[in-house]
Amino acid sequence: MKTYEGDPDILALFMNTARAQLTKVNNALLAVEKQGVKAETLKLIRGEVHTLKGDSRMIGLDSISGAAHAVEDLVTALEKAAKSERGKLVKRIFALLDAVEAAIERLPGEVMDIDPEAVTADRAGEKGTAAGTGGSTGKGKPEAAAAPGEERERTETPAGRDDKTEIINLNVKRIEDLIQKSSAFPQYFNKFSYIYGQLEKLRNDMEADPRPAEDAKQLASIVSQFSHELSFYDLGSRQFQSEITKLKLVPLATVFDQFPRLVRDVAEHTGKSVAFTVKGKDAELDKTIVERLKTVLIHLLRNAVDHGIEDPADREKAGKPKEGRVVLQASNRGDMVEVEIGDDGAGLDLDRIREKAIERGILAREDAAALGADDTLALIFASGFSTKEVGSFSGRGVGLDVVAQTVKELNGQVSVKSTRGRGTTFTVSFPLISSFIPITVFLLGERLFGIPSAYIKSVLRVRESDRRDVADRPVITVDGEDIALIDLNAWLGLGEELTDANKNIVIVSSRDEISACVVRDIIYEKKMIIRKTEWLVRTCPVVMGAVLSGRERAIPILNVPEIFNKLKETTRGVVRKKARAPGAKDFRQKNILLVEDSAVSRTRQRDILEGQHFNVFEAAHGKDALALLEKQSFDVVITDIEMPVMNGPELIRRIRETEGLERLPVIVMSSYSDNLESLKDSGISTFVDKTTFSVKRLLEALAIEGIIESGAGPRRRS
Amino acid sequence: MKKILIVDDSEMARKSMCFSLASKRYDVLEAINGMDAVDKLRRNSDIGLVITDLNMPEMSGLELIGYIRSSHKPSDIPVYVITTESKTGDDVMKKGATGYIVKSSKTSAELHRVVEQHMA
Repeated sequence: MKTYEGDPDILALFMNTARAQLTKVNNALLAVEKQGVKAETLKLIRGEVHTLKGDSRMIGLDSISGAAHAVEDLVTALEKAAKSERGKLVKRIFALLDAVEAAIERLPGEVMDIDPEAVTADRAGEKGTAAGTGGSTGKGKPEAAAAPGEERERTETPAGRDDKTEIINLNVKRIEDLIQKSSAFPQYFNKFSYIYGQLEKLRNDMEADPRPAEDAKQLASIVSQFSHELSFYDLGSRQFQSEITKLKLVPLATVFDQFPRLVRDVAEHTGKSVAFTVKGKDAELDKTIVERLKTVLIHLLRNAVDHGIEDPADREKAGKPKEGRVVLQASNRGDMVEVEIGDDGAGLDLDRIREKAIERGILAREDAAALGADDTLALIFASGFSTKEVGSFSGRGVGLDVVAQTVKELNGQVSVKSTRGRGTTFTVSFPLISSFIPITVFLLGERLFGIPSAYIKSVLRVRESDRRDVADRPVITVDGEDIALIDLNAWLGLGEELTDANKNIVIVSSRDEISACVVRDIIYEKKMIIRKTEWLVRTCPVVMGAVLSGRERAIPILNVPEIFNKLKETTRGVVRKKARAPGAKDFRQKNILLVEDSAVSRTRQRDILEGQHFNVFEAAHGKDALALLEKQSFDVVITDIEMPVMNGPELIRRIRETEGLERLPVIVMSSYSDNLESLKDSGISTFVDKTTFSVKRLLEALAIEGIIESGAGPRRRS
Repeated sequence: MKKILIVDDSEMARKSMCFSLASKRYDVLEAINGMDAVDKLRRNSDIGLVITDLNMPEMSGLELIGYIRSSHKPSDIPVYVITTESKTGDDVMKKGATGYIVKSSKTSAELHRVVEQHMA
């Protein structure tokens, strides 16, 4: 099988563009079918197809550009064709577009061949264009022809789709708004720095000449100023966050525009006459939800046309217009998006639903009579329920239970209203923003549990020799490190012993804690939404919620930080501090004294150092630093040169004069490189130029000083 | 160094050419049709090479070449046409194009050859 080897970003752009082009061409062709050949429409089709042809050729996808070329030829033929011939030609074009779409969706795993002749010949005589997509399914048995929608669904979600780069087209206005809002943050930094300066000044004043009443008044004024600014900062940052989250939203048009073609195909296939209306396609929804919503809507639309709308003859008998109506309508409501699929068909038969539910064992016969209309309607979402016999068009394969399941997995809701003889309306609502996170699901004894994958450090096989007891507690030795074993069985009150069945070890870590859990097997990892299940969390606090998987199955998700907290309470220190990565061995717990008068530089350096897990103490000048050095032992001092009150050289001189600090490593960081000479004899060891300051350079300096090298003992005062 | 102007209404085609050239540290400007290209040419006197598509809305590649050869200064900027059909090649040479590149999987290599020739 040939695979696509080109640039993945360019390919993602191509696929995105091509999908939009196909949708436009499909809808333009529908217009040709309904309203006849118009120069304007043909021009639009030609433009899109020509671009598709060039684009695909450019990245070496010659089969797609060949198919696009064949479409161009057919469009030319369509322009000249007699009216009676047009239908056939349009169907051929549809068939080619389907083949191109299928080929695009297989990228980059497979570069499909498309034989335009075969694709168009296959269908020309057939009823509808609903047969399997060309190329790969050319040999399909006629009776196995996929139903419209089903083929599309399958091609939409091939395995590995998650790995592809996803591209969202962004509204420039939205980005500009964000940039505008983000400009507030440096302003807050300035305001906070100003307040910080005032606080510092107050402290210095107080040290020089304490006057309690006056100082307290001044402090109160600074605090109130700070609290005022802080509330604005809070508001601003929340707004910013909410706007950024909205970048994931895309208009529903990307999906809705594909439906007119679907409805046409289903109607043709089932001999219905349907007018399809789409409203509210500007409504927006999370990009990750949109794709899954699409499969839900495909089911519901297919149902509406196939089951909802009656045959034209029956409609006439019932005194309705021959042409049925199907309406798809979306709207944003607060944090939710609501989608309605309505038809003016026969409506649902409550008696039939009850009968079916009893037949399928979903409903007890004695309960049936008392069941109200709404509860009866809700039955159609039950697992295993389908009102039509297998083999009929929409009843095949999956049904409304899958719709209900998907909606539930997306944290949404689905409901149905129906009036006999008047029609049926399904309403689906979702939260705008999804929060899928990767969850690792594992088997513990006979039960499934999950842990957010972010907490998992590694998964190992256990050897009996790795397991032993230290101070009556089980530990395992991994890379020479003893890691406490958590007995999840006991924690979760499962009452099962750690048996031989549990052979795998999951190493979990949170902040600086690390521990190991023995499990039976890792089942899978999948991105899912954790639902907060109040009753579950109340009964078992080490569970943070549950994910829904498969048919209504809830898998509890363990709350790792909470497990560590509980462990600490009960075992007092048996959980080890997290093992240090080899290169970072002595990073932790090292005390650094940062001496710098500029609050801005200091903040930046502190952030960097704290990011490397140092304990950072700050001083604004030499005098501050000396005071701290008296109270506390440090592994290294990093100091600026030019500072008020006491400058760097003076600080270094005083450090060297102090007993026990003669050999304390001092790193000078300054932009005044010319002052270096005077510092030569002062005993500084390393110099970092502030103008070329980088994290790397700072860490190098620390390594030179032996601060971050393993084995190099910190030189402390004894 | 002089700039290269890429003119194509297909974002895909434009980006793939730009990425490819930018990776070799060429300075690249983009225009979405002939009209946009004229605007970019007026604002940037340091454009040294134009690569243009033919079929574009508002103003086509041929019209762009016509504008450059008759009204732009300097009027002898090299202009290459990038086209889907190889048969249009000779035709565009008659209309003032310096050369043409046929869209294919070899476009990128071809493009680099042209750019090296003119931007060296």
